[in-house]
Amino acid sequence: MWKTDRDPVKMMADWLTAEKLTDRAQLDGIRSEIESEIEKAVAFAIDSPYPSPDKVDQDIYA
Amino acid sequence: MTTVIDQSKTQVRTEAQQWIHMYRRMLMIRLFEEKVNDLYTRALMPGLAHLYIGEEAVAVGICEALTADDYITSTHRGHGHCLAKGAELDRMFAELLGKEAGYCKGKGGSMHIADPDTGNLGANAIVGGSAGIATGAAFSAKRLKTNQVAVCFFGDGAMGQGLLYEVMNMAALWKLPVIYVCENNLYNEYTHNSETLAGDIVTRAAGFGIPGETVDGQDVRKVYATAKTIVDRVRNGGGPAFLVCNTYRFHGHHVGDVNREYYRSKQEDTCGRPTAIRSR
Repeated sequence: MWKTDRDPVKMMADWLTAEKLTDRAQLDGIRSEIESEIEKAVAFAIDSPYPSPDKVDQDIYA
Repeated sequence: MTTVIDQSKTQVRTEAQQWIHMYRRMLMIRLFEEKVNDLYTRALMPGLAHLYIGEEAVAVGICEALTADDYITSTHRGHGHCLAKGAELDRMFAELLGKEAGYCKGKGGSMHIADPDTGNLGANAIVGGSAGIATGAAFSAKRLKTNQVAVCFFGDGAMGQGLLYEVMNMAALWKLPVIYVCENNLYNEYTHNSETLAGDIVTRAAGFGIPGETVDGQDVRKVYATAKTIVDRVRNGGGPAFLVCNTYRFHGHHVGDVNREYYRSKQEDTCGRPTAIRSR
């Protein structure tokens, strides 16, 4: 079944480790890096301002 | 002798780095989408989003075979395409939250992200709606002799849209550098495609004389290898191509589609696409 055996991310992780191109520690490190990038990006987005109401009709083509 | 071994090691390392890069991109899309779902369920994100979870290998495998200035067009399920082509996480989240720092200054939201700097001509909320845009981009590339190719991503639902066939006809006639990529995730929104699509998807391209191929859309290495061959052929004047990537939508049609029993059995919803039954 695809959710268990055919998950593209898991398949690639399994292949990379089986081929010894990486190891679990490096993969865990990649995950932590991305998680931290995402947390920063979400914080940036939450803290960013909304467009001001006077720009409502700008960049609208349809 | 030593030099040869060193070169060989360098080659292996470079290839390993490339595969690890693809793994990183797929995981980035996965974690991005999980965060989107989290923001939606906590009512921090306005509107809806269509999650790409389960289909990451398609966007990454294809986009890795492209150059930075090649074009893509995307779909309503488009976050994966944007990130695979090089979009930044912060501007993506900003757009989803309706903020001015977003890719469309917060006015587009999930289904309309475009990023011309990375060759992304935009998501499109209309099923099959970007087929004309991708084909037009390929026409301009050919006319201006820029050597770019255009990839048009769409789902199996778009196989029911007339526009796709109109532009495939033109692309074949004019030998345009465009690749039509059908992400076959089995579902047209809430309907299994066994109820909507007659015949075999990939053979439809043959009607226009466009070469069609099918690839395992869960295996990023296979998607990349297939895409690389196709991109080279298309870039060198071989005319358009059609690629079906067999994949699976792990979640619902969109983040709010959580009660799926009426169109997807509990067994399938828990475990995923059956390998034999109802596969297309």
